[in-house]
Amino acid sequence: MKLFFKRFYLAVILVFMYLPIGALIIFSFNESKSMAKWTGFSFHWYEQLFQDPSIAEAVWVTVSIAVIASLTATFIGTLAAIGMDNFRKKSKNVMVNLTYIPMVNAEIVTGISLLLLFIFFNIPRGYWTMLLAHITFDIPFVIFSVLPKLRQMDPGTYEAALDMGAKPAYAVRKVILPQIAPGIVTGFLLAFTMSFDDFMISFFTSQGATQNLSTYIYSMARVGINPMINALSAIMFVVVITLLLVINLRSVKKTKKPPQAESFR
Amino acid sequence: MKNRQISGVMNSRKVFALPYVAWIAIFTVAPLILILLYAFTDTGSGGVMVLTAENLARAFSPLYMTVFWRSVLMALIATVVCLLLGYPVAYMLSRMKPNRAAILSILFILPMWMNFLLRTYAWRALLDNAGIINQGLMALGFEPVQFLYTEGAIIFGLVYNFLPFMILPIYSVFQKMDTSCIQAAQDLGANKWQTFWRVTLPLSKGGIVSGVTMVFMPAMTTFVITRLLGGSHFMMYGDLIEMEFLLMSEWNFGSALAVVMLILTILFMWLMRKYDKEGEGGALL
Amino acid sequence: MRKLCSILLICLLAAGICAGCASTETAGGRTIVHFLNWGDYIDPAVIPMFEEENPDIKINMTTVPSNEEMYVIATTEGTQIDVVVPSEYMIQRLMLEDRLAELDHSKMENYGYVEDFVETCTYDPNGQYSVPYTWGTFGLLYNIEMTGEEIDSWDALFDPKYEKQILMYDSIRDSVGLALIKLGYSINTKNQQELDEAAELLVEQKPLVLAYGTDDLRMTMINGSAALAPMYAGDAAYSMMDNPDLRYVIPEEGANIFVDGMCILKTTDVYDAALRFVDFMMRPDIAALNAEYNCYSTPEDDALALVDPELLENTAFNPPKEDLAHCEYYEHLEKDILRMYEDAWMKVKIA
Repeated sequence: MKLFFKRFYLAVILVFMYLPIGALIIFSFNESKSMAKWTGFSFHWYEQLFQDPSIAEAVWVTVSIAVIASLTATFIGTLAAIGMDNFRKKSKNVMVNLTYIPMVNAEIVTGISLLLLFIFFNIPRGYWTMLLAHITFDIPFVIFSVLPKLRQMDPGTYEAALDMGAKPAYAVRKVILPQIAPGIVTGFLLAFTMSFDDFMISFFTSQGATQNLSTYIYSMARVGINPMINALSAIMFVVVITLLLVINLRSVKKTKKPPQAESFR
Repeated sequence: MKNRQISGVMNSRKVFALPYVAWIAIFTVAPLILILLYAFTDTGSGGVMVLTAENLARAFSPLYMTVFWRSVLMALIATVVCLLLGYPVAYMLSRMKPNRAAILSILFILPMWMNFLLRTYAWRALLDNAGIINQGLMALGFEPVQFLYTEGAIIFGLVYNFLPFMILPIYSVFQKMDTSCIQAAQDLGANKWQTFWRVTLPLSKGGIVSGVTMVFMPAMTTFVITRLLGGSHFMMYGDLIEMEFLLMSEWNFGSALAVVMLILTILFMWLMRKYDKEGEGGALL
Repeated sequence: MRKLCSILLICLLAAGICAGCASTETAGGRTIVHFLNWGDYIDPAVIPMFEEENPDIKINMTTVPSNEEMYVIATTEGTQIDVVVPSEYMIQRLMLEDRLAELDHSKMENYGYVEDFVETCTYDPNGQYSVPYTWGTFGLLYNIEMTGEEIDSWDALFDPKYEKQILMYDSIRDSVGLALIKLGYSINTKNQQELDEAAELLVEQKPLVLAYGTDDLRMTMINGSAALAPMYAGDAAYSMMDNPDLRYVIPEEGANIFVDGMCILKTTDVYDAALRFVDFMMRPDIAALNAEYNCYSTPEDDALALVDPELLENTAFNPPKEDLAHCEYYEHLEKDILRMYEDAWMKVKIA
């Protein structure tokens, strides 16, 4: 009974989360533009979607920025975390506080402050400024994913590697990185997701010279969202979920054979 | 002496943080200084910058404070609802087998892959007076309900959009929690409620604080939800800032409003640091 | 660990797939013209047509939802934008601030098609800095099934019998302007007392209003979820095609009339290419394509001849000339005056 109640509760919350997404996907096959009346099944919006160059451009901007920004942030952030872990308490505190800022600060304030910066240095707004902004708000996610892993690590191993003659870069690569890898991956994923869905900061820092999906959709709102966008999100969503299922099934199969202890938590 | 110190830095791992220190100086600190600069100045006649506290005074005038307090109230309600809904979810997830918990926690992140504007639009279509939910109600013989364009609809939208941000930090605290404390409490004869109030809840405080921060701040400054679900009857602080910058081109006054938000941010950062003594952001992720 | 790696893989794969279906075009020596447009305002076929006829030019179009945002983007230092389509009051402001490049009519093959219309544009009567792209009125759209009667006055928007069936525009100038018209004042008033009265009227109206909105009002009207809404003629024409119960009227008290014009920014470094694009947009067949796509009226008689006759019969797209007599353009207002309008609107918002 209790188990049933628990499952029921989780199911209700999940339905709440996925109801609008389901509606979006279903109505992307609707013949008319309406999201209230079903007028007939059609691939019309999907056909239109693949003929629209500006949407393709927006998808390209979104994906390329998310990939480059999250990779760069992972690189800078991981190094920073390793470095910060060795700071003295006071300077570490300052750095952690500064790292909190982009995460806690209202997005609109971050976006505007970066815009003011780019204007101040007279950097033309567009793709590159959007990228710099994304890296900026991505880094904290990486740092805060990696720092706890560093704390769990045995500090002696790195010193030992140095004592045995390893160069610092080599020691980091061979000793530290493998131990903090889960944190790095989590950080990368969070950074990627944040970058992918960002609207506010992209909006202010690109200033209309480049558009990612979010800003494209926002500007479309003047005349109403075209169902092409619903079709696009349906495709993206199905792709993500399929890959997830495939890989999960595969990993389940693998774990069945050797009964290993679960190594990560 | 100095030289040796420098070479000491170069050899230690501290050097790895140098690129980030530079990055933070340029992309976090400098922009905030610029905001403060704008907030405390104004372009006088002939394009000369003059120092003034007028913008800030205006930001604290009753007209704009009404918007501020209303946003605080709305965001607060949304945060509490998120907490009440999300806490049990996080708890249940943490009690599951790791495999299943991993899949379920992904399910809670997955919606973020779909543009939030679109998801909000979809809710709007569902909740519309002539939308699917009302069509269903009418088919069942009920009177249609006006869900949209009310304060309730705004809260609903806020909860929908920010619930994952409440679940995830609490879940991660539960994961790290030492379950032996709970075990011990139960062994010592505490009943379920006592265990929860005396042990589980205090231990998860850090997660709650970061969840509250991650929901409250964005909720205060959202501007799309009031528009799409609230019918723009009211303004949140985000609507106000957006209007000043984009519609009025009032950069100085807009910056002053941003400074008000910054004060709130600092308040929350202080709160979070209280629960994150090791300074590793553990409370946040 | 393994699981996290798999998720990482998924993301990368997803990224790869998405990137694969996106067409990546490099400029490849072509001149790039940055065109800042309204969303969904141009037939998607038009830009490819232009690029085919002018293989040396690539148009990079981005979109914004409002004149004010367009202004911010187009005028902050270091902007990349070359061509914009502001409305008349914003053109006026850009002209006043000397931000627009003069249009060289001698290099424009199609200027002749809009010449007659340009003479009526009081903000730029010689077409020196702008050429009209679309025009229309800001009138009243209503659902005759729901109101049960014909409507010809703004009074309907303030009538308690339509409680919670009224939609209002969420924009400082449009909403305050509407109240000013109803009170018999100019939409460009600089009189504090008149603005106070307008604010008071709008506050009184607030309990009757179902929702405030802009573009999104269109869908609400099409769905039949509300009975009355002030609306731009193009949106109204579009809605009327999807819902036959909708009627559009320019109320007897008058209304705002607007023109969206194409302009080239002074900061451009690709003036010739930009001018060729602006000229292309005025070709009657292109103007007709765009008019049919976005349902906004075209300033060219030659284009009207090419437009679907059904659209021509639409009173929002092609209003009777006598109705336009008491319509008024917005004028650009100084910062201090604009702040008075903002305060009036804020009073409504916090009520």
